[in-house]
Amino acid sequence: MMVLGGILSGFLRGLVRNRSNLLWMVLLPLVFLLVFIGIPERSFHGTLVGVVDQDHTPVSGAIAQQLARLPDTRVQAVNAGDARHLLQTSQVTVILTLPPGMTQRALAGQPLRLGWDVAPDAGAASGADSSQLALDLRAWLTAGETAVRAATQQHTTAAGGPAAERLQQAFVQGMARAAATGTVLQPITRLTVSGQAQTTDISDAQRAVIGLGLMFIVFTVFGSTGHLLQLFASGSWDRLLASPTPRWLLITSYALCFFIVGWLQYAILYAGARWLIGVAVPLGAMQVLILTLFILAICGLALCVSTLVRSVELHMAAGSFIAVATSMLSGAYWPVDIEPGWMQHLAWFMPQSWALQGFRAAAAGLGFTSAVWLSVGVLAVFALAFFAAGVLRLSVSRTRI
Amino acid sequence: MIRAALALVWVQLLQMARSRRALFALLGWPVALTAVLSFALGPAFDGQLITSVRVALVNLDTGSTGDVVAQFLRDRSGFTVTAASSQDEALADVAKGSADVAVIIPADTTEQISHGGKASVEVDAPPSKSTMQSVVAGVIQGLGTVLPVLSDVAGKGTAPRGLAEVSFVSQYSGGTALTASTYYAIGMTTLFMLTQAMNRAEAMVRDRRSDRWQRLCAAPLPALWRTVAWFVASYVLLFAQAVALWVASTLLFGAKLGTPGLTLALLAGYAFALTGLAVAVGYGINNPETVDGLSMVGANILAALGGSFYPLYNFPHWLQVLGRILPNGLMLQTWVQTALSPDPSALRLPLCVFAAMGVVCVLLSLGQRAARRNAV
Repeated sequence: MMVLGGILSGFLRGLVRNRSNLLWMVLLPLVFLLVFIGIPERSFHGTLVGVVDQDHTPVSGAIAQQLARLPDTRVQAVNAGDARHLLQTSQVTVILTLPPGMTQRALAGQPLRLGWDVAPDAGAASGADSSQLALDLRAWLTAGETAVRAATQQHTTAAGGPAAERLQQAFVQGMARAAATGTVLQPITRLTVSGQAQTTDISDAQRAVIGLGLMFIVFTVFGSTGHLLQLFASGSWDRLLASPTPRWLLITSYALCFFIVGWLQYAILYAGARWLIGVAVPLGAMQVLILTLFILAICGLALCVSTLVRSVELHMAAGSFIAVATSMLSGAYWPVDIEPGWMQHLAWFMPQSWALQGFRAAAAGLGFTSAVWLSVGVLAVFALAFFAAGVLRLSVSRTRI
Repeated sequence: MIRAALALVWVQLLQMARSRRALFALLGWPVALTAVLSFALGPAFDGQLITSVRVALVNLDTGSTGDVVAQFLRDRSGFTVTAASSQDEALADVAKGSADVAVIIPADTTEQISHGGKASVEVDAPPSKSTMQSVVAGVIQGLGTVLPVLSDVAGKGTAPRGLAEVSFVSQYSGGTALTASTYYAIGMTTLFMLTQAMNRAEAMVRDRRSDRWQRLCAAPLPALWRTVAWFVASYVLLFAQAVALWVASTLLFGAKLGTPGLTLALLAGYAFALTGLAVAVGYGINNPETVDGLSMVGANILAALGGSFYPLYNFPHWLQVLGRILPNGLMLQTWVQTALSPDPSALRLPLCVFAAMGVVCVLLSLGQRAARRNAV
C-alpha cells in the first residue's frame, strides 16, 4: 500500500509541477469548449437565406418577408453579382432568386421557375433545412395563387376584372394566411435503443462535450503514459524492478495513476462545461461505468504503444494521431451518419463510438437495455485486450536487466 | 562565410530528414488528417448529407392524411419506405438494422387536423442515425405546411391541379465549389505550417542550449550569420512542407487549391512570416518545455480560431474578424478566396502583412540577442 501511495503521490506531484501538463489538461480543453461549443451555441445557427429580388414587386417583397418570419431563418437581400461568392464560401445556406416577371406569371397561374442554390455546409443539415424551406415556399405560392383565382372569380361575376394591384394584394394575403397557419404535422423525435423509445435525449452541445471529453482523455492518458518512457530512459524502471516490490504491484500502481489522470481530465471538462459554458452533462451510474471502461481501454492502448516506441515525443505524436483520427471516425466531432458507409463501419473498431452510443442511451434513460450492455461489453473487451497486451509487453520487454 | 552559413542550413535539413518523428509531423500527420476530414465531411460539403434513408412506416390513421404522408415519403428520392403493422414491429426493424428510422402516424391524425389542431408524428431513430432522423422529421414538418393549403384549395374548388407548379433551378452552378478536400487541405496546411514553425522554435531553443551551439559561437562566424542560417533553414523546411502538402492534397484528394503562381506566392509569404515568428520565439524563450507547450497548445488554439478545424463562416461575426486578424486565419481565408476565384490583387494586403510580420519578428529577435549580449 505504501508503494502504491508513494508512486501515486510522486506521479501526481510531477503532473502538477509540469506547467506544460496544465496547459494540456486545463487550458486547451477549456478553450476548445469555448470555441467549439460555447460560442457556436450562443450564436445563430439556423438557415440564412440570400434573396436575389429581380422582380421588385409587392409579391416578391412579401416572399422575402414571409421567409424572414420563419423560426431559425434569417433573410439577407443579395445582389446577383455577390450571390456566387456567398454560396461558394458558405456565407448563406441558400440563395433564392426571384426572376423578373415572376409576379406576372404567378398572377396568370403560369408555372414558375425560381432560382434555388444550396451552399455546401460542413456543420448543419443544410440539405434538410433548405428542402423544408422549398416546401414552405411551394405551399405559400399555392395559397397565393388560390387567393388570386378566388379574387378573379369574385370580380368577374361582379364587374369586369380586378386591377393588377388588387390581384397582387390578394396573392400576398393568401400567402400570409398560409404562413400564419404553419405546419399541422408536429414531428416528435425519440431515441430508440433495443426496441425501446424515449423522448428524452441529450442536446447537441452535451453530445459535443462528451465527444471532446473522450478525445482529451486519449490525449492526456497518452501524455501520462509517456512518463513510463522517461522511467525507461533514466533507468529508474530497472531500479524499481530490482527492488523487492512485486512487479505486478508496480505495474498496477502506474496503471492506477494513468486511470486517475483519465478521470481527472474528464472531471476538468465536465466542470468546465458546466460552469464555463453552462452545459451540464448527465453522469449516472451507467455513464460512470462506461467512462471507466473507456479510460481503462485507453490506458491499455497507451501502455501497448509506450512499449513499442522509443521516445516520449514519438509516443505523444502517436497519441495525438490516435486521439484526433479515431475521434473523427467515431463521431465524437460530428454525427457518425454523415460519414460514408465504410467510415461508419470503421467506427465499430473505435472505443469512442461505443462509449458515445452507450453514454447517450444511458443519458436518455435507456441505460439497462441490451444495446447499452453491448456497448459496455465491447468496451470491457477493448479494456481487457489492450490492458493485457500492454502489461504483457511491459513485462516481457522491460524485465531483461 | 556564406559557405559556413549554408553548411549550417544543410545540417539543419539533414537533422530533420533523419528524424522519423519530424518527418511524420511534417508530412504524414497532415496528409492523414486531410484524408479523414475530406472523406468524412465530403458528402456534407457536396450538399449530399443524407443520400438514402430506410423508413419503417406505421400508418394507424383512420383518415386520409396518413396515406398522404406515406405517399409523400415514398415519392422522396433516396427514401425507401416499408410498411410495418405496429410500433413494436417498426422499432424492432430499427433495432435489427433493417430500417434507419421508424415513423408512426397516430390513429387520430386526420381528425386532429380537420378540427383545426396539430397532429404529432413520432420519428424514432437510434443514436447513430440522428442526422437521418432530423431529415425525416424536417420532411414531415414541411409536408404539414402544405396540407392545410391543399385542403383550402380543395375547399374552394379553384385549383384542381393541387400545388402550384414551381420548379427550383440552379442559377449559380458551374463555378468552383468549395469542397471538403479543398477546405481541409488549406486548413491543415495552414495549421501544420504553424505547428512546424513552433517546432523549429523549440529546436532552436534546444540547439542554443547544446554544445554544438557553444562551438558555433566560438567559430569565426558572425552571430548575425548564425541567425540568418537558422532563418534560411527554417524557411526552406516550411516552404518545402507547404509545397509537398499542396502537391499531395491535389494528387491524392483532388483538392482544387488555385493557380500555382498565386498559391506559391501565398505560401512563400506565409512561410516568411512564420519563420520570423519561429526565430523570435526561439530567441525570446529559453525553456524548451515552454516552447513545446506553446507549440502544441498555442498552435491548436490559433488553428481553432483561424478556422482550420471548422469553417469560420459558422462563427459569430466578431470571432470571424478575430480569425482574419490572426496570420493563420488571414492565410486560410485568402487561400480559400484565391482557390475559388483567382485574383492577384487580393494577395496584396496579406503578402504585405506577412512580410511586415516576418521583418518585425526578425528585428525583435536581433534586438533580444543584442540586449542579451550587452547584459553579458
